[in-house]
Parts: sequence; C-alpha cells; structure tokens
Amino acid sequence: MPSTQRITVTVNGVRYERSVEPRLLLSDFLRHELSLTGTHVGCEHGICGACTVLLDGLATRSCLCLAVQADRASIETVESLGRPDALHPVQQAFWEKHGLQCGFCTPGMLMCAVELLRANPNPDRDAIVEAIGGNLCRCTGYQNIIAAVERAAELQHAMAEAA
Amino acid sequence: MSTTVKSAPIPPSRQREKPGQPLKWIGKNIKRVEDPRLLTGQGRYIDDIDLPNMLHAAVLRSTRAHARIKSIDVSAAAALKSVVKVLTGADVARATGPLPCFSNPTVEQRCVAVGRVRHVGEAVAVVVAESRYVAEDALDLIAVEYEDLPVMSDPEEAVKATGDGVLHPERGPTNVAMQRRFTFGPVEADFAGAARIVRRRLRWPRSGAQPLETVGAVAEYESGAGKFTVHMNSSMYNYVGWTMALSLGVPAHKINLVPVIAGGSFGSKLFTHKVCVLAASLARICGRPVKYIEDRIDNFTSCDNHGSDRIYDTELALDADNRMIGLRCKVLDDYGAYFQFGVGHHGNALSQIVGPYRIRSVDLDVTAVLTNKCQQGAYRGFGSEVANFVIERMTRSNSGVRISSGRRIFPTRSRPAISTTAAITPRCSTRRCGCSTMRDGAESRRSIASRAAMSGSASPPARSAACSRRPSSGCSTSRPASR
Repeated sequence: MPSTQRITVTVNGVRYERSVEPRLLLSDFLRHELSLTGTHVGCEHGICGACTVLLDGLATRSCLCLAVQADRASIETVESLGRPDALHPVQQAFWEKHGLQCGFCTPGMLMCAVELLRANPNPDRDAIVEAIGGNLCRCTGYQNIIAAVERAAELQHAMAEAA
Repeated sequence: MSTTVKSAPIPPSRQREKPGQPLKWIGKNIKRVEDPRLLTGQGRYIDDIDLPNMLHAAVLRSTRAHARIKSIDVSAAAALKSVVKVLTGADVARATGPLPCFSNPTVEQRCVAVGRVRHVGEAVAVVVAESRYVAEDALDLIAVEYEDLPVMSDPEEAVKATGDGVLHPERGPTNVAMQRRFTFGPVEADFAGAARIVRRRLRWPRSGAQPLETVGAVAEYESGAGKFTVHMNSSMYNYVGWTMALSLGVPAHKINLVPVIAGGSFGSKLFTHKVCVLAASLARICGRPVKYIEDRIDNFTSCDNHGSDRIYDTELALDADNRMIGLRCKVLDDYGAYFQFGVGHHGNALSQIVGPYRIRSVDLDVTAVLTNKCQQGAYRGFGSEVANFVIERMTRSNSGVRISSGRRIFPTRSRPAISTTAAITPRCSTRRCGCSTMRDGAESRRSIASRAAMSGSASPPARSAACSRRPSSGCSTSRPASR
C-alpha cells in the first residue's frame, strides 16, 4: 500500500485533517473521504467540468487535482451554496430558468457561475459563455444555462438592494 | 394496404382553447419539483450510493477487435493486497448466464467474454477489491494471451465472411444476424409504372449518446433469502428486472431494483444489463455489496449507446408530375458484435418511413450484419433518425429532378415547403426563416401559395426578421444547398 500523507483542508468552512495516498484525486477525496457527493465526476480527465470546485476562490477541476495539492487550501463545493428550502440565488436562477435537466453537470456549472459573479456582478452574455465554456452539458443545449446566469445576476442585485 | 393513408383522414382538431386565450398551465413557466435536490448536490446518483462493507469492481477490456482468448493469468493480480477476487469470463459464467437478447435466434453475449472477444473494449476479466484504485492497479497485472482472428470492420465485407471471419459460428456460418423484408402497397406496380426513379446510396455512420454520467450499479446479495438488491441508473425499470433475473438464474421477485436518478441517458441507459448483471453477479460471488461504475473509457467502448450504422440503397419512384409514389430501401445495418434488440431499431424506422409525405408504397429490405464493433443500443431515435435522414435526402435529391410540392400529409408553416428544388437551387438558410426562397421565383411563389392554402392562411407566413431577402432577388443568406 502506498504511504500516506497528512493534509489539512478547509472545505465549505469546515477544517479537516486526513491522511491520504498521494495519488488520491481531490474529487475522490471530497466524495469518498468527506462524503460530499454533490461534486460529480463525469470524465475523470478534465474534459467535462462536472467536478469543478472553487479552490481558494478559483474554479478548479477536482479530477485533475490531487488531494495533497489542496493541502492548506480552502475549498468550496456545491454543498456550500444553499439548501433545498433556501436556495442560493444562482441555484434559484437555474431552477427558474430550467438551467438543468439531468442535473449531473449542474454542480460544476453552478461553481463556475459563482466564480464569475463574484468577479463580475454584471456579466454580459459573452462573459457568461466564456465562464461556462469549459463545462459540458449534454441535455440543455446551454441556452437556458446562460439565461440562468443572467437571471442570477439580477437576483443578486435585487437582494443587494433589498438588504 | 396502399389506400391506408387515404382512408384514414386526419380528424379535425379537438382543441377547445383558442390561441391567445388565458390558460392555466400552457405557456406558463413551471418549475420542476426535483430541481432543488439536484441543485444542492443531493441528487443521489448511482456513484453516490455507498453501502457498508462495499467492494469496488474494475473491468479489464479487450485490446483486440476479434480474437480467441488463449489464456488469462490472474495470479499476480489476485496476489495484490486488498484484492478480493479476480474473475475471468469462464469464472463469471459458472454463476451467471448470458445477457438478455431480443433476437431470434439469440446472439449470445456475456457480461465478461468467454473464450473469444468480438470488439475492442469487451470485458475480458474483472477485479473486485477494497477500493477502485486497487482494483485498477490489479487490472495492470493481468496477462491475457490472444490469438487474432480476421477483423470484420466493413459491413459489406462482413456479410460475405466465412470461417474465422464469422463472429458467432454457433448460430450458423454467416454474420447476417437478421434479414427481413417489409412491403406495403403496390410497390412493384408503382416502380414499373414510374415516370422517373431517383436512386441514391446514403450512409449514416455510427454515433453515440455520451451522457455525462456513465452507467453504474451497486448490488448486494442476501444469501439466506437468495435476494438481490440492485441500485442502478437504468431508465427502463419495466423490463430490466425480469431480464436481469434470467441472467442471474433467479425468479424476478428475488430482485429488488432501486432506481436512482440518471445523469443523462438519451436512450443509452435503456439496456444497462452488462453493468447491473455484472455487479449483481459479483455481489453473489463475493458475499459482499459490490459497486461497479463504468469509467469514461468503459462507456465509450462497451456501452449500450452506439447508434445506427447503416447503408441505404434507396429508390424513389415519381409519377409523370414528379410526385412521389413509391419508396424502396435496401438497408445494410452494421449492428456490431452482438444483437440486443432484433428488429426493434428497424421497427421504429419503419413506423415513420415515409416521413411527412404521401407515398403510397414502400419496400424495406433490411439486413443486419455482425461486425467487430460494440453492439448498437437504444440511442435516441432508436433507428428512426436514419429513416428521417434518408427520406429528407431523397426529397432533396441532387439528381436535377424537381420533386413536386403538395405531397406533405401535414401542412407546415415553419419549414420551407417541400417543393424540393433545394438540391439544385440555393435556399434560405436563415434559422427560423419562413421563406421558401428559391432562385426560381415561379417555384417559390407556387410553393408559398400551396403552403398557404394547406394551412388555411390567406397570406404567406411572415418571414423572420433575420431574413434580409429582398423581393424577387433571391435570399441574401442563401448557400449552395449541395453542402
């Protein structure tokens, strides 16, 4: 059995210390070690983007990243966004605009949208297309996903004004 | 038969609501009930299922398209720490029967190949281990010795193959899996009396569904009760259970199927037996729950999502007014190495063989041939998309013949009329453009008029804003239609 390495990561605000094999993928670490199965693995080689998480705020494919590389990093997954009865504005927008069908690519899409809207609260269509351009969706044809991200920007502005 | 269409007029619409009237649901955005859980990462897809004491399986796949398996040495793999079982096809076959097959005579397919591989990617051996990582390590330690056989990659060659080129000699000395001919209406008379016959050879190559989530199953077996519990992401629970029971050799009531949400199917998860039978079989052999999830390569090379792969030699009979009267198709279908659905793919195609056109006679001659490729599955139109392609290519034949308009059974407003001069004159390619622009102005006007008459509208439908066609100038967005 390969030797293990001790890592400390903060995932969705919770600090975890684990001993992991150096070859363990970050996606498998999140899913199997921490039971955070919201992050999906579609292709396991960086093509589909379903496994995208935010690593220190940057959208990262967790299937192309080793868990040991995330040592001392802060990770955000789809589980950090909202709950079924209290959706995050991006999730709410995807629901309203039918930005998902089977839902398998959705966690990756959501995390890309979150990263975009933090940096650019008023993205134009081109910026949205660019932000989700590395993620595959086989159901929607993308148009509703783009509409959902536009709607998410509106919802976030409405919330900011209301606050 | 020839008068079927004529004697069955389309009944008037029973729609009671008039366009524009306030409706309760139609035209309203409706939010899906399942979305909140999918959006919050709580979809519970197949790979999210985690049972206590669960093992993980990985499959060694053939690197050869057609070969006899001379020997498999699993000793090094079995000796690896944390490996629980390494099984060849023969080992699995001792506990589990062939996979279900809806053709007659049957084409035997197994979840792990026995004695012979018939396509690249076919399962050759399987490892069950404490983790998927270790199971995949062990795959590298399995040594397989093959004896190559002639590879049938071209269906026209495969039809003629003899000897070792025959994939399933136990069925007889031929790769022809099925040959059926379906005729409707006075085909012979229509072709004998035709003023013109348009002939084309059309090729529809293989494609695949590629859902983002692959196929998987998590199975457990209670030896005391003899019962299986199988979590799986099939999209066809009606028959998966009892067909799986046949393979496992138990009555259907001994299998409890637990459906999970499928991460995309497009038809490809209709028939997931290779995966769920394997997982269930391994759970019974190992006495512990077993998870098997295809990785992307497993899914690419050995899934159930390969689509139709056909050569159509097609003839379209026209009368003196160039109206379509008869259609004759000789189809060669490259089914791949096994044959799940028998005539199913062609039944679907046959049900819409004339498309939206009035064609009174049809002759469909289907030959399905076995080749060294993954077998076809229930991909999307399930065979009918090819028939639609064929009929549309025939009506836009580049033979120079103008096939007459007014042959649609259903009026249309959204598409160019079928006054199919498109093959010889450019037509508008603007999306959603209602114009049926042809360089030939007379033809264009006639088709618009005929369409307007069919749709009951006094004036031709409005063009979309995107079309910048000026009157009588030809569409500015035209392109050569021969593309």
